[in-house]
Amino acid sequence: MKNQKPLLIVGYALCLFFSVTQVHAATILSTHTYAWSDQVGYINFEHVTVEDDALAGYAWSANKGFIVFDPLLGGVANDGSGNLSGAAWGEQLGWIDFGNVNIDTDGVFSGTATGTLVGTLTFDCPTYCDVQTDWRAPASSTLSSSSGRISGSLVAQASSAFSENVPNTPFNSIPSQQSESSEELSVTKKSIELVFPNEPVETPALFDVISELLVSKVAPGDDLPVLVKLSNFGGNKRVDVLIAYSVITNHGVELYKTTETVAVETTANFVKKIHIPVTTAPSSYTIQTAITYEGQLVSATAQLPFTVERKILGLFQSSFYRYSAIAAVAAGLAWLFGYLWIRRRRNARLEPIDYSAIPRGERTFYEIISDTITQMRGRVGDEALTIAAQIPGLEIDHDSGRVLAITGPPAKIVATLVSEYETLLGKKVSFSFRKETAIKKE
Amino acid sequence: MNTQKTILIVEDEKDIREALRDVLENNQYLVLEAKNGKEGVTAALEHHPDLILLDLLMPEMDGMAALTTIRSDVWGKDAPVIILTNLNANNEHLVADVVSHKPLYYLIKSDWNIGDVLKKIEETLNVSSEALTH
Repeated sequence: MKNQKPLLIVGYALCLFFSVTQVHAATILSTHTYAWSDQVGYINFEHVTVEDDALAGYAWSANKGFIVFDPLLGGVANDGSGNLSGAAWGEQLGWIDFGNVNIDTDGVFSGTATGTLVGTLTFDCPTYCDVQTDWRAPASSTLSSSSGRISGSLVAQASSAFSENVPNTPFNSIPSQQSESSEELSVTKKSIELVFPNEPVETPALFDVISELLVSKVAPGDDLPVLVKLSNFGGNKRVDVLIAYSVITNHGVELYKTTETVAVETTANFVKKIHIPVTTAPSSYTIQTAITYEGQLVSATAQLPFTVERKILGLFQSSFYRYSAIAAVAAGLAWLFGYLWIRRRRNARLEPIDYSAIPRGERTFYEIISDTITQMRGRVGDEALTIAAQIPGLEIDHDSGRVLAITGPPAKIVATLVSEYETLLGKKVSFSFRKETAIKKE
Repeated sequence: MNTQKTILIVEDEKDIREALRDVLENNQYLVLEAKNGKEGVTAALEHHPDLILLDLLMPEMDGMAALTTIRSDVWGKDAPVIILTNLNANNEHLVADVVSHKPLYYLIKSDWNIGDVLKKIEETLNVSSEALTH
Protein backbone atom coordinates (compact mmCIF):
# COMPACT_ATOMS: atom_id res chain seq x y z
CA MET A 1 0.00 0.00 0.00
CA LYS A 2 2.77 2.36 0.80
CA ASN A 3 4.28 1.97 -2.64
CA GLN A 4 0.98 2.82 -4.32
CA LYS A 5 0.75 6.40 -2.97
CA PRO A 6 2.73 8.20 -5.66
CA LEU A 7 0.79 6.48 -8.37
CA LEU A 8 -2.50 7.42 -6.84
CA ILE A 9 -1.47 11.05 -6.64
CA VAL A 10 -0.37 11.20 -10.26
CA GLY A 11 -3.53 9.50 -11.36
CA TYR A 12 -5.62 11.86 -9.39
CA ALA A 13 -3.82 14.84 -10.90
CA LEU A 14 -4.58 13.54 -14.37
CA CYS A 15 -8.25 13.23 -13.46
CA LEU A 16 -8.23 16.79 -12.35
CA PHE A 17 -6.63 17.87 -15.59
CA PHE A 18 -9.35 16.36 -17.73
CA SER A 19 -12.16 17.51 -15.53
CA VAL A 20 -11.19 21.15 -15.56
CA THR A 21 -10.56 21.49 -19.28
CA GLN A 22 -14.31 21.68 -19.75
CA VAL A 23 -15.41 25.28 -20.52
CA HIS A 24 -18.15 26.73 -18.32
CA ALA A 25 -20.18 29.28 -20.35
CA ALA A 26 -23.01 30.89 -18.45
CA THR A 27 -25.50 33.66 -18.88
CA ILE A 28 -26.74 36.53 -16.74
CA LEU A 29 -29.88 35.78 -14.77
CA SER A 30 -32.77 37.54 -16.44
CA THR A 31 -33.97 39.12 -13.19
CA HIS A 32 -30.53 40.42 -12.26
CA THR A 33 -29.16 42.20 -15.29
CA TYR A 34 -28.60 45.83 -14.36
CA ALA A 35 -25.49 47.59 -13.08
CA TRP A 36 -25.45 51.29 -12.23
CA SER A 37 -23.05 53.92 -13.50
CA ASP A 38 -22.85 57.18 -11.62
CA GLN A 39 -22.23 58.92 -14.95
CA VAL A 40 -24.50 57.24 -17.49
CA GLY A 41 -27.09 55.41 -15.40
CA TYR A 42 -28.24 51.80 -15.80
CA ILE A 43 -26.32 49.36 -17.95
CA ASN A 44 -27.93 46.09 -18.97
CA PHE A 45 -25.70 43.00 -18.80
CA GLU A 46 -28.36 40.70 -20.19
CA HIS A 47 -26.30 39.72 -23.20
CA VAL A 48 -23.04 39.17 -21.38
CA THR A 49 -21.84 35.61 -21.03
CA VAL A 50 -19.48 34.37 -18.38
CA GLU A 51 -16.92 31.74 -19.16
CA ASP A 52 -14.31 30.21 -16.99
CA ASP A 53 -11.58 32.35 -18.42
CA ALA A 54 -13.30 35.46 -19.75
CA LEU A 55 -16.48 37.44 -20.21
CA ALA A 56 -17.98 37.75 -23.66
CA GLY A 57 -20.94 39.35 -25.40
CA TYR A 58 -22.02 42.87 -24.80
CA ALA A 59 -23.75 45.11 -22.31
CA TRP A 60 -26.10 47.93 -23.30
CA SER A 61 -26.45 51.47 -22.06
CA ALA A 62 -29.55 53.30 -23.20
CA ASN A 63 -27.53 56.51 -23.10
CA LYS A 64 -24.18 55.35 -24.41
CA GLY A 65 -24.77 52.26 -26.53
CA PHE A 66 -22.87 48.98 -26.60
CA ILE A 67 -20.10 47.86 -24.30
CA VAL A 68 -18.16 44.97 -25.79
CA PHE A 69 -16.48 42.49 -23.46
CA ASP A 70 -14.29 40.79 -26.00
CA PRO A 71 -13.02 43.57 -28.28
CA LEU A 72 -10.13 43.13 -30.61
CA LEU A 73 -7.79 44.46 -27.97
CA GLY A 74 -8.25 44.05 -24.28
CA GLY A 75 -11.27 42.25 -22.95
CA VAL A 76 -12.35 41.14 -19.53
CA ALA A 77 -10.69 37.99 -18.17
CA ASN A 78 -11.95 35.59 -15.53
CA ASP A 79 -9.30 33.81 -13.51
CA GLY A 80 -11.65 30.91 -13.08
CA SER A 81 -12.42 31.88 -9.54
CA GLY A 82 -14.61 34.81 -10.45
CA ASN A 83 -11.87 37.42 -10.12
CA LEU A 84 -12.18 39.63 -13.18
CA SER A 85 -9.46 41.72 -14.79
CA GLY A 86 -8.88 43.72 -17.95
CA ALA A 87 -11.17 46.17 -19.66
CA ALA A 88 -14.31 46.23 -21.77
CA TRP A 89 -14.79 48.72 -24.58
CA GLY A 90 -17.75 51.04 -24.78
CA GLU A 91 -18.37 52.57 -28.16
CA GLN A 92 -19.12 55.88 -26.47
CA LEU A 93 -17.54 55.19 -23.12
CA GLY A 94 -14.01 54.12 -24.02
CA TRP A 95 -12.28 51.60 -21.82
CA ILE A 96 -13.90 50.32 -18.63
CA ASP A 97 -11.61 48.63 -16.15
CA PHE A 98 -13.05 45.48 -14.52
CA GLY A 99 -10.03 44.81 -12.34
CA ASN A 100 -12.00 45.35 -9.16
CA VAL A 101 -15.00 43.19 -10.05
CA ASN A 102 -15.59 39.70 -8.67
CA ILE A 103 -18.17 36.98 -9.13
CA ASP A 104 -18.74 35.13 -5.91
CA THR A 105 -19.62 31.49 -5.44
CA ASP A 106 -23.31 32.32 -5.85
CA GLY A 107 -22.72 34.03 -9.18
CA VAL A 108 -23.22 37.50 -7.77
CA PHE A 109 -21.15 40.30 -9.25
CA SER A 110 -19.55 42.64 -6.72
CA GLY A 111 -17.05 45.46 -6.63
CA THR A 112 -16.83 48.31 -9.08
CA ALA A 113 -15.67 48.82 -12.63
CA THR A 114 -14.30 52.21 -13.51
CA GLY A 115 -13.68 54.30 -16.56
CA THR A 116 -13.02 57.92 -17.43
CA LEU A 117 -16.45 58.34 -18.97
CA VAL A 118 -18.47 55.64 -17.29
CA GLY A 119 -17.33 56.79 -13.87
CA THR A 120 -17.98 54.10 -11.28
CA LEU A 121 -20.01 51.10 -12.34
CA THR A 122 -21.61 49.38 -9.36
CA PHE A 123 -23.02 45.84 -9.41
CA ASP A 124 -24.58 45.52 -6.03
CA CYS A 125 -26.30 48.70 -5.12
CA PRO A 126 -29.45 48.50 -2.95
CA THR A 127 -32.14 49.31 -5.52
CA TYR A 128 -32.62 47.59 -8.87
CA CYS A 129 -28.97 47.19 -9.40
CA ASP A 130 -27.50 43.73 -9.17
CA VAL A 131 -25.93 41.46 -11.68
CA GLN A 132 -25.96 37.73 -11.21
CA THR A 133 -24.94 34.83 -13.38
CA ASP A 134 -25.58 31.15 -13.32
CA TRP A 135 -21.88 30.69 -13.79
CA ARG A 136 -20.19 29.09 -10.80
CA ALA A 137 -16.54 28.97 -10.13
CA PRO A 138 -15.22 25.45 -10.36
CA ALA A 139 -14.41 23.97 -6.99
CA SER A 140 -10.72 24.53 -7.69
CA SER A 141 -11.27 28.18 -7.01
CA THR A 142 -10.86 27.39 -3.37
CA LEU A 143 -7.20 26.97 -4.05
CA SER A 144 -4.98 29.92 -3.60
CA SER A 145 -3.87 31.53 -6.79
CA SER A 146 -1.31 34.25 -7.07
CA SER A 147 -1.92 35.55 -10.53
CA GLY A 148 -4.37 36.15 -13.29
CA ARG A 149 -5.85 33.85 -15.79
CA ILE A 150 -2.83 32.51 -17.59
CA SER A 151 0.00 32.53 -15.12
CA GLY A 152 0.57 31.62 -11.54
CA SER A 153 1.72 28.78 -9.32
CA LEU A 154 0.14 26.29 -7.11
CA VAL A 155 1.92 24.78 -4.21
CA ALA A 156 0.27 22.11 -2.25
CA GLN A 157 1.44 20.11 0.64
CA ALA A 158 0.45 16.56 1.16
CA SER A 159 0.86 14.80 4.36
CA SER A 160 2.14 11.38 4.89
CA ALA A 161 -1.41 10.29 5.46
CA PHE A 162 -2.37 11.66 2.08
CA SER A 163 -2.82 8.53 0.03
CA GLU A 164 -6.24 7.36 1.08
CA ASN A 165 -7.62 10.76 1.66
CA VAL A 166 -6.64 12.31 -1.64
CA PRO A 167 -10.21 12.68 -2.95
CA ASN A 168 -11.04 14.84 0.03
CA THR A 169 -8.13 17.23 -0.29
CA PRO A 170 -8.30 20.53 -2.05
CA PHE A 171 -6.22 19.16 -4.85
CA ASN A 172 -9.25 17.53 -6.35
CA SER A 173 -10.28 20.90 -7.67
CA ILE A 174 -7.07 21.95 -9.32
CA PRO A 175 -8.04 23.18 -12.79
CA SER A 176 -6.75 20.88 -15.42
CA GLN A 177 -5.99 23.90 -17.53
CA GLN A 178 -3.35 24.89 -15.08
CA SER A 179 -2.07 21.39 -14.82
CA GLU A 180 -1.73 21.38 -18.55
CA SER A 181 0.83 24.12 -18.42
CA SER A 182 4.49 23.39 -18.44
CA GLU A 183 4.41 22.62 -14.83
CA GLU A 184 7.12 20.89 -12.97
CA LEU A 185 5.95 18.00 -10.93
CA SER A 186 8.28 16.89 -8.25
CA VAL A 187 7.19 14.10 -6.08
CA THR A 188 8.92 13.38 -2.88
CA LYS A 189 8.10 11.03 -0.24
CA LYS A 190 5.65 13.29 1.50
CA SER A 191 4.91 16.25 -0.71
CA ILE A 192 3.89 17.31 -4.18
CA GLU A 193 4.79 20.70 -5.64
CA LEU A 194 3.10 21.95 -8.76
CA VAL A 195 4.95 24.85 -10.32
CA PHE A 196 3.39 27.00 -13.06
CA PRO A 197 5.41 29.44 -15.12
CA ASN A 198 5.11 32.81 -13.42
CA GLU A 199 6.32 35.03 -16.20
CA PRO A 200 4.33 38.24 -16.44
CA VAL A 201 2.49 38.58 -19.70
CA GLU A 202 2.62 42.10 -21.05
CA THR A 203 -0.61 43.50 -22.32
CA PRO A 204 -0.32 46.25 -24.92
CA ALA A 205 -0.84 49.86 -23.89
CA LEU A 206 -4.33 51.17 -24.60
CA PHE A 207 -4.52 54.91 -24.24
CA ASP A 208 -7.61 57.03 -24.15
CA VAL A 209 -7.38 60.81 -24.32
CA ILE A 210 -9.85 63.35 -23.04
CA SER A 211 -9.35 67.08 -23.33
CA GLU A 212 -11.22 70.00 -21.83
CA LEU A 213 -10.92 73.66 -22.73
CA LEU A 214 -10.40 75.86 -19.73
CA VAL A 215 -11.67 78.81 -21.76
CA SER A 216 -13.98 78.77 -24.76
CA LYS A 217 -12.82 82.02 -26.28
CA VAL A 218 -9.36 83.37 -26.92
CA ALA A 219 -7.85 86.37 -28.67
CA PRO A 220 -5.27 86.17 -31.46
CA GLY A 221 -1.83 86.06 -29.85
CA ASP A 222 -3.14 84.59 -26.56
CA ASP A 223 -2.67 81.09 -25.19
CA LEU A 224 -5.50 78.56 -25.25
CA PRO A 225 -5.27 76.38 -22.11
CA VAL A 226 -6.30 72.77 -22.70
CA LEU A 227 -6.65 70.25 -19.88
CA VAL A 228 -5.42 66.89 -21.20
CA LYS A 229 -6.24 63.59 -19.49
CA LEU A 230 -4.45 60.45 -20.63
CA SER A 231 -5.54 57.04 -19.36
CA ASN A 232 -3.82 53.76 -20.07
CA PHE A 233 -6.22 50.82 -19.90
CA GLY A 234 -3.65 48.34 -21.07
CA GLY A 235 -0.37 47.31 -19.46
CA ASN A 236 1.20 49.28 -16.70
CA LYS A 237 4.46 49.79 -18.52
CA ARG A 238 5.67 53.35 -18.92
CA VAL A 239 5.06 54.47 -22.47
CA ASP A 240 6.18 57.56 -24.35
CA VAL A 241 3.09 59.10 -25.86
CA LEU A 242 3.38 61.65 -28.62
CA ILE A 243 0.59 64.20 -28.35
CA ALA A 244 -0.28 66.34 -31.34
CA TYR A 245 -2.37 69.48 -30.89
CA SER A 246 -3.94 70.91 -34.03
CA VAL A 247 -6.02 74.02 -34.54
CA ILE A 248 -8.46 73.33 -37.35
CA THR A 249 -10.70 75.79 -39.16
CA ASN A 250 -14.38 75.26 -39.86
CA HIS A 251 -13.39 74.11 -43.34
CA GLY A 252 -11.12 71.41 -41.99
CA VAL A 253 -7.88 73.24 -42.74
CA GLU A 254 -5.16 72.69 -40.19
CA LEU A 255 -4.11 76.15 -39.16
CA TYR A 256 -1.51 75.33 -36.57
CA LYS A 257 0.07 72.24 -35.08
CA THR A 258 2.41 71.48 -32.22
CA THR A 259 3.53 68.23 -30.63
CA GLU A 260 5.05 67.05 -27.40
CA THR A 261 6.03 63.73 -25.88
CA VAL A 262 4.79 62.66 -22.46
CA ALA A 263 5.86 59.54 -20.58
CA VAL A 264 2.77 57.91 -19.06
CA GLU A 265 2.32 54.77 -17.03
CA THR A 266 -1.34 54.75 -16.08
CA THR A 267 -2.80 58.25 -16.15
CA ALA A 268 -1.55 61.75 -16.74
CA ASN A 269 -3.40 65.03 -16.34
CA PHE A 270 -1.83 68.32 -17.33
CA VAL A 271 -2.65 71.70 -18.86
CA LYS A 272 -1.22 72.45 -22.27
CA LYS A 273 -1.19 76.04 -23.47
CA ILE A 274 -1.65 76.31 -27.22
CA HIS A 275 -0.42 79.61 -28.58
CA ILE A 276 -2.91 81.06 -31.04
CA PRO A 277 -0.98 83.03 -33.68
CA VAL A 278 -1.64 86.73 -33.69
CA THR A 279 -2.56 86.52 -37.35
CA THR A 280 -5.44 84.13 -36.66
CA ALA A 281 -8.67 85.50 -38.10
CA PRO A 282 -11.61 85.80 -35.68
CA SER A 283 -13.84 82.78 -36.21
CA SER A 284 -14.83 79.40 -34.77
CA TYR A 285 -12.16 76.70 -34.65
CA THR A 286 -11.57 73.23 -33.32
CA ILE A 287 -8.67 72.10 -31.18
CA GLN A 288 -7.82 68.47 -31.85
CA THR A 289 -5.72 66.40 -29.48
CA ALA A 290 -4.38 63.16 -30.95
CA ILE A 291 -2.02 60.65 -29.35
CA THR A 292 0.48 58.26 -30.86
CA TYR A 293 2.55 55.64 -29.07
CA GLU A 294 4.49 52.53 -29.82
CA GLY A 295 2.35 49.57 -30.70
CA GLN A 296 -0.76 51.65 -31.07
CA LEU A 297 -3.55 49.95 -32.93
CA VAL A 298 -6.49 52.19 -32.12
CA SER A 299 -6.41 55.89 -32.73
CA ALA A 300 -7.39 58.20 -29.90
CA THR A 301 -8.33 61.78 -30.52
CA ALA A 302 -10.38 64.47 -28.83
CA GLN A 303 -11.86 67.53 -30.48
CA LEU A 304 -13.27 70.65 -28.89
CA PRO A 305 -14.66 73.82 -30.45
CA PHE A 306 -13.45 77.25 -29.43
CA THR A 307 -13.72 80.80 -30.72
CA VAL A 308 -11.08 83.32 -31.64
CA GLU A 309 -12.19 86.90 -31.09
CA ARG A 310 -10.26 90.16 -31.01
CA LYS A 311 -9.95 92.21 -27.86
CA ILE A 312 -10.58 95.91 -27.35
CA LEU A 313 -9.07 97.49 -24.25
CA GLY A 314 -8.53 94.05 -22.75
CA LEU A 315 -12.09 92.90 -23.37
CA PHE A 316 -13.34 90.58 -26.04
CA GLN A 317 -14.97 92.52 -28.84
CA SER A 318 -18.47 91.22 -28.11
CA SER A 319 -18.02 91.85 -24.38
CA PHE A 320 -16.65 95.32 -25.09
CA TYR A 321 -19.70 96.23 -27.17
CA ARG A 322 -22.02 94.71 -24.57
CA TYR A 323 -20.36 96.54 -21.70
CA SER A 324 -20.25 99.75 -23.73
CA ALA A 325 -23.98 99.52 -24.34
CA ILE A 326 -24.58 98.88 -20.64
CA ALA A 327 -22.30 101.79 -19.72
CA ALA A 328 -24.12 104.07 -22.20
CA VAL A 329 -27.48 103.13 -20.75
CA ALA A 330 -26.13 103.60 -17.23
CA ALA A 331 -24.70 107.00 -18.18
CA GLY A 332 -28.00 107.98 -19.78
CA LEU A 333 -29.92 106.96 -16.68
CA ALA A 334 -27.42 108.78 -14.47
CA TRP A 335 -27.83 111.92 -16.58
CA LEU A 336 -31.62 111.59 -16.51
CA PHE A 337 -31.74 111.08 -12.76
CA GLY A 338 -29.25 113.90 -12.26
CA TYR A 339 -31.31 116.20 -14.43
CA LEU A 340 -34.52 115.29 -12.62
CA TRP A 341 -32.82 115.77 -9.25
CA ILE A 342 -31.47 119.20 -10.21
CA ARG A 343 -34.83 120.19 -11.66
CA ARG A 344 -36.63 119.06 -8.56
CA ARG A 345 -34.16 120.92 -6.40
CA ARG A 346 -34.56 124.05 -8.53
CA ASN A 347 -38.33 123.77 -8.39
CA ALA A 348 -38.10 123.34 -4.64
CA ARG A 349 -36.05 126.52 -4.47
CA LEU A 350 -38.67 128.33 -6.54
CA GLU A 351 -41.57 127.41 -4.32
CA PRO A 352 -43.03 130.29 -2.33
CA ILE A 353 -41.83 130.55 1.24
CA ASP A 354 -44.40 130.71 3.99
CA TYR A 355 -44.54 133.94 5.99
CA SER A 356 -47.75 133.32 7.86
CA ALA A 357 -45.90 133.93 11.13
CA ILE A 358 -45.26 137.53 10.09
CA PRO A 359 -47.93 140.05 11.21
CA ARG A 360 -50.42 140.76 8.45
CA GLY A 361 -49.42 144.41 8.04
CA GLU A 362 -45.79 143.51 7.21
CA ARG A 363 -46.42 140.15 5.57
CA THR A 364 -47.20 141.54 2.10
CA PHE A 365 -43.76 143.15 1.80
CA TYR A 366 -42.07 139.97 3.03
CA GLU A 367 -43.95 138.03 0.39
CA ILE A 368 -43.29 140.52 -2.43
CA ILE A 369 -39.57 140.68 -1.63
CA SER A 370 -39.28 136.92 -1.14
CA ASP A 371 -41.17 136.07 -4.34
CA THR A 372 -39.18 138.62 -6.31
CA ILE A 373 -35.92 137.08 -5.05
CA THR A 374 -37.22 133.58 -5.85
CA GLN A 375 -38.31 134.67 -9.32
CA MET A 376 -34.93 136.24 -10.01
CA ARG A 377 -33.13 133.21 -8.60
CA GLY A 378 -34.86 131.11 -11.23
CA ARG A 379 -33.65 133.51 -13.92
CA VAL A 380 -30.12 134.42 -12.87
CA GLY A 381 -29.29 131.86 -10.19
CA ASP A 382 -27.79 132.51 -6.78
CA GLU A 383 -26.59 135.95 -7.87
CA ALA A 384 -30.13 137.04 -7.05
CA LEU A 385 -29.37 136.18 -3.39
CA THR A 386 -26.11 138.11 -3.46
CA ILE A 387 -27.85 141.20 -4.77
CA ALA A 388 -30.67 140.93 -2.26
CA ALA A 389 -28.23 140.44 0.61
CA GLN A 390 -26.61 143.78 -0.24
CA ILE A 391 -29.86 145.77 -0.06
CA PRO A 392 -29.73 148.01 3.06
CA GLY A 393 -32.45 147.16 5.57
CA LEU A 394 -32.99 143.62 4.20
CA GLU A 395 -31.77 140.43 5.88
CA ILE A 396 -32.10 137.16 4.02
CA ASP A 397 -30.97 133.58 4.45
CA HIS A 398 -28.07 133.08 2.02
CA ASP A 399 -29.07 129.52 1.26
CA SER A 400 -32.84 129.56 0.94
CA GLY A 401 -33.39 133.24 0.15
CA ARG A 402 -35.87 133.49 2.95
CA VAL A 403 -36.46 137.02 4.16
CA LEU A 404 -35.36 137.06 7.79
CA ALA A 405 -36.06 140.67 8.60
CA ILE A 406 -36.99 143.98 7.02
CA THR A 407 -35.39 146.75 9.04
CA GLY A 408 -35.66 149.57 6.50
CA PRO A 409 -38.60 151.17 4.65
CA PRO A 410 -40.22 148.16 2.92
CA ALA A 411 -41.47 150.00 -0.19
CA LYS A 412 -38.00 151.43 -0.69
CA ILE A 413 -36.44 147.99 -0.30
CA VAL A 414 -38.82 146.58 -2.93
CA ALA A 415 -38.07 149.48 -5.28
CA THR A 416 -34.30 149.10 -4.77
CA LEU A 417 -34.47 145.34 -5.28
CA VAL A 418 -36.47 145.72 -8.48
CA SER A 419 -34.10 148.41 -9.68
CA GLU A 420 -31.05 146.20 -9.04
CA TYR A 421 -32.60 143.29 -10.84
CA GLU A 422 -33.62 145.46 -13.77
CA THR A 423 -30.01 146.61 -14.01
CA LEU A 424 -28.82 143.01 -13.93
CA LEU A 425 -31.32 141.79 -16.52
CA GLY A 426 -31.36 144.89 -18.65
CA LYS A 427 -35.15 145.00 -18.60
CA LYS A 428 -38.05 145.80 -16.32
CA VAL A 429 -39.15 143.37 -13.66
CA SER A 430 -42.67 142.35 -12.74
CA PHE A 431 -43.81 141.03 -9.41
CA SER A 432 -46.86 139.44 -7.97
CA PHE A 433 -48.99 139.47 -4.90
CA ARG A 434 -49.78 136.22 -3.25
CA LYS A 435 -53.11 134.50 -3.06
CA GLU A 436 -53.45 132.72 0.23
CA THR A 437 -53.97 129.33 -1.41
CA ALA A 438 -50.75 129.55 -3.37
CA ILE A 439 -48.55 129.42 -0.29
CA LYS A 440 -46.74 126.23 0.69
CA LYS A 441 -45.07 125.76 4.00
CA GLU A 442 -41.30 125.11 4.00
CA MET B 1 -76.76 129.45 -16.07
CA ASN B 2 -74.42 131.91 -17.73
CA THR B 3 -70.88 131.20 -16.49
CA GLN B 4 -69.17 133.55 -18.92
CA LYS B 5 -66.63 135.71 -17.12
CA THR B 6 -66.46 139.46 -17.68
CA ILE B 7 -63.13 141.25 -17.96
CA LEU B 8 -62.68 145.00 -18.01
CA ILE B 9 -59.69 146.31 -19.96
CA VAL B 10 -58.58 149.80 -18.89
CA GLU B 11 -55.95 150.75 -21.41
CA ASP B 12 -55.33 153.97 -23.31
CA GLU B 13 -53.23 152.39 -26.09
CA LYS B 14 -55.70 151.25 -28.70
CA ASP B 15 -53.50 148.53 -30.22
CA ILE B 16 -52.86 146.87 -26.91
CA ARG B 17 -56.48 147.18 -25.83
CA GLU B 18 -57.80 145.61 -29.04
CA ALA B 19 -55.22 142.86 -29.01
CA LEU B 20 -56.20 141.93 -25.47
CA ARG B 21 -59.86 142.10 -26.37
CA ASP B 22 -59.46 139.78 -29.36
CA VAL B 23 -57.57 137.18 -27.37
CA LEU B 24 -60.00 137.25 -24.48
CA GLU B 25 -63.06 137.10 -26.72
CA ASN B 26 -61.54 134.19 -28.59
CA ASN B 27 -61.33 132.50 -25.22
CA GLN B 28 -65.00 133.04 -24.52
CA TYR B 29 -64.64 135.96 -22.15
CA LEU B 30 -67.04 138.89 -22.17
CA VAL B 31 -64.88 141.99 -22.62
CA LEU B 32 -65.52 145.55 -21.49
CA GLU B 33 -63.22 148.33 -22.65
CA ALA B 34 -62.19 151.69 -21.15
CA LYS B 35 -59.56 154.00 -22.63
CA ASN B 36 -58.70 155.92 -19.44
CA GLY B 37 -59.00 155.69 -15.67
CA LYS B 38 -62.21 157.63 -15.47
CA GLU B 39 -64.03 155.38 -17.95
CA GLY B 40 -62.56 152.45 -16.17
CA VAL B 41 -63.94 153.44 -12.78
CA THR B 42 -67.37 154.02 -14.29
CA ALA B 43 -67.43 150.69 -16.10
CA ALA B 44 -66.12 148.80 -13.10
CA LEU B 45 -68.61 150.15 -10.63
CA GLU B 46 -71.46 149.71 -13.09
CA HIS B 47 -70.76 146.20 -14.41
CA HIS B 48 -68.77 144.64 -11.53
CA PRO B 49 -66.50 142.67 -13.84
CA ASP B 50 -64.82 139.46 -12.65
CA LEU B 51 -61.38 140.93 -13.35
CA ILE B 52 -59.86 144.29 -14.21
CA LEU B 53 -56.78 144.72 -16.40
CA LEU B 54 -55.45 148.12 -15.43
CA ASP B 55 -52.82 150.29 -17.06
CA LEU B 56 -51.16 152.92 -14.86
CA LEU B 57 -50.11 155.70 -17.23
CA MET B 58 -53.29 157.04 -18.82
CA PRO B 59 -54.85 160.45 -19.61
CA GLU B 60 -57.59 162.12 -17.53
CA MET B 61 -57.20 159.68 -14.60
CA ASP B 62 -54.16 157.44 -14.17
CA GLY B 63 -54.47 153.85 -13.16
CA MET B 64 -53.40 154.26 -9.56
CA ALA B 65 -56.04 156.96 -8.99
CA ALA B 66 -58.64 154.79 -10.64
CA LEU B 67 -57.63 151.86 -8.42
CA THR B 68 -57.84 154.04 -5.33
CA THR B 69 -61.42 155.00 -6.31
CA ILE B 70 -62.43 151.43 -7.05
CA ARG B 71 -60.99 150.19 -3.74
CA SER B 72 -63.07 152.77 -1.91
CA ASP B 73 -66.23 151.10 -3.18
CA VAL B 74 -67.83 148.26 -1.25
CA TRP B 75 -67.71 145.95 -4.23
CA GLY B 76 -64.38 147.24 -5.44
CA LYS B 77 -62.34 146.76 -2.28
CA ASP B 78 -61.86 143.07 -3.09
CA ALA B 79 -62.17 143.21 -6.88
CA PRO B 80 -59.40 141.27 -8.64
CA VAL B 81 -57.03 143.65 -10.42
CA ILE B 82 -53.99 142.95 -12.56
CA ILE B 83 -51.80 145.95 -13.21
CA LEU B 84 -50.42 145.83 -16.72
CA THR B 85 -48.01 148.69 -17.31
CA ASN B 86 -44.70 149.82 -18.65
CA LEU B 87 -43.95 151.80 -15.53
CA ASN B 88 -41.17 150.06 -13.67
CA ALA B 89 -41.61 149.55 -9.95
CA ASN B 90 -38.35 151.09 -8.83
CA ASN B 91 -40.03 154.02 -7.20
CA GLU B 92 -40.58 153.79 -3.50
CA HIS B 93 -43.87 155.70 -3.50
CA LEU B 94 -45.26 153.74 -6.42
CA VAL B 95 -44.43 150.52 -4.64
CA ALA B 96 -46.07 151.76 -1.48
CA ASP B 97 -49.24 152.69 -3.40
CA VAL B 98 -49.32 149.39 -5.25
CA VAL B 99 -48.90 147.41 -2.08
CA SER B 100 -51.55 149.37 -0.28
CA HIS B 101 -54.11 148.67 -3.02
CA LYS B 102 -53.23 144.97 -3.36
CA PRO B 103 -53.48 144.09 -7.01
CA LEU B 104 -52.88 140.45 -7.87
CA TYR B 105 -49.99 141.12 -10.19
CA TYR B 106 -47.77 143.96 -11.23
CA LEU B 107 -46.90 142.97 -14.78
CA ILE B 108 -44.54 144.83 -17.05
CA LYS B 109 -45.99 144.89 -20.55
CA SER B 110 -42.66 144.52 -22.28
CA ASP B 111 -41.85 141.48 -20.15
CA TRP B 112 -45.10 139.65 -20.89
CA ASN B 113 -46.71 138.51 -24.08
CA ILE B 114 -50.48 138.26 -24.44
CA GLY B 115 -50.44 134.49 -24.06
CA ASP B 116 -48.74 134.71 -20.70
CA VAL B 117 -51.13 137.41 -19.59
CA LEU B 118 -54.02 135.14 -20.58
CA LYS B 119 -52.55 132.38 -18.39
CA LYS B 120 -52.37 134.76 -15.45
CA ILE B 121 -55.99 135.73 -16.04
CA GLU B 122 -57.05 132.10 -16.15
CA GLU B 123 -55.10 131.34 -12.99
CA THR B 124 -56.84 134.22 -11.35
CA LEU B 125 -60.29 133.24 -12.43
CA ASN B 126 -59.51 129.57 -11.88
CA VAL B 127 -60.95 128.78 -15.24
CA SER B 128 -59.09 127.18 -18.11
CA SER B 129 -59.64 128.48 -21.60
CA GLU B 130 -60.14 124.87 -22.78
CA ALA B 131 -63.05 124.37 -20.45
CA LEU B 132 -64.64 127.46 -21.84
CA THR B 133 -64.08 126.33 -25.39
CA HIS B 134 -65.68 122.95 -24.85
